Amino acid sequence: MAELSRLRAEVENVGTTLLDAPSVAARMEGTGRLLPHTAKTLQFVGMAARASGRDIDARRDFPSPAYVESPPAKVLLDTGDVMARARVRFLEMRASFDWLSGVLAGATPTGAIAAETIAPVATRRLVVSVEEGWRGEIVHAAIVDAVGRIARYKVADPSFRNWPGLSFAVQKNVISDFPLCNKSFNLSYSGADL
Amino acid sequence: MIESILKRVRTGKVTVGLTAGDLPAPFRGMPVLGEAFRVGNVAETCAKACATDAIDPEKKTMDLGRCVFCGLCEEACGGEGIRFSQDPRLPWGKREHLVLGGPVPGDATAPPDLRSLLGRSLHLREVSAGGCNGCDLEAQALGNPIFDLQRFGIDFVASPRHADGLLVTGPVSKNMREALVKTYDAIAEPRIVIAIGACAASGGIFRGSYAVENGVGGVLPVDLFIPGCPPHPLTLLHGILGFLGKNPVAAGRSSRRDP
Repeated sequence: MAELSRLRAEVENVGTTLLDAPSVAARMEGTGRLLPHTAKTLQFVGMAARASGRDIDARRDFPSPAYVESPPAKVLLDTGDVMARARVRFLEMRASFDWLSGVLAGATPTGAIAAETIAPVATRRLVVSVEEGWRGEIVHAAIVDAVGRIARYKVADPSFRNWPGLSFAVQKNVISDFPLCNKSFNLSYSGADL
Repeated sequence: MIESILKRVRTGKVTVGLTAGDLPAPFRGMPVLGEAFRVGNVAETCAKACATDAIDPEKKTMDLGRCVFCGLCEEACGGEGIRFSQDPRLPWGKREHLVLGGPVPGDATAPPDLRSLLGRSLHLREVSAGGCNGCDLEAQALGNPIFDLQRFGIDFVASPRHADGLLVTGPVSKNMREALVKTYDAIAEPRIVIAIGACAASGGIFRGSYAVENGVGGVLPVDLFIPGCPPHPLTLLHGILGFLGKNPVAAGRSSRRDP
């Protein structure tokens, strides 16, 4: 917990330094806008989606047990510019600190961190799982064969959905703002299928 | 305005020197093989606990190119067998130099001509070849004010055409193979290849999967392997500077401050 508050102070320091600076606001406000309509059409995911008014969060929509007990705070902006994406990240970091403090305060850590390999529980099945990662929802799909071993495993990277958005966001922007737009989406270069 | 200046003053100097010793727990660094590992059958117990087959109970070796530093072996065979220290300085070099307890022949530093050519100015293009982003984040951390890679004349560039070498992470997924080879081909000779992390050395936890090439070694000629899962930025600095034949401490020229 002490480590958490130390980290929180650092994040606050960096976040407020960035977001309170007028020169930063001048550069990021109105730049690289991804309109809510486009975000919806492209089925955007993750923080970039939530900066364009798209209310989607796998932690809430497909919650694992910890999120059923304490749902994550909703962070939603709709201007869809570079500033919105930066602010969503900062606000979500704050929300995560709150969430972690709440969860850890009542937690009594028990049980092993590592688990023994479990015997096959099913044969000839397809299982799909959705988890909210730092870039958005990550979808894992596995197919098990006749003896319960994994026959095929597929991961759908959140950036697979979000890459096309960049080409919409950079329209009518000056070329020097391209890196700003690009990085604001925090897209992966080498996830599955990319 | 005054607040942002005050923040800078309050932050002060954050850059660490390379003499910084052990890192705080729960960091797992250089493993120490105990006497019990080398004699008797303790190595067998260690090997059974290892998910990535890093431990060879016959040869009594531990391959850091496969090790993911999970610590299960330490738990299974006790500190007498294997104990993880908190020292971030791991062995680096050719693939065989990463094997603890094995024969470690030859010199892993770059040949003199490469050292004189790249020793003071090395520009690297990074390619993430299907990894988990762990190594990429640590490599990216090299550029921050704490580790300050640029003070050694080393930097990451945005195009292979601007680069003297390639830094690769990940097991090299089949889908990334072509992109990796093309990037390598686009770098003018002489060029070097640095493979960082367990995946890039051996395939790591993905070794044997139908979708990967089991590391960079089977795809490109690798000059320098640095182990870790992921390697700490200090591990990377230690390896890269060592490869360039630099004394990491002298090259740092920074006052000691623990990270």
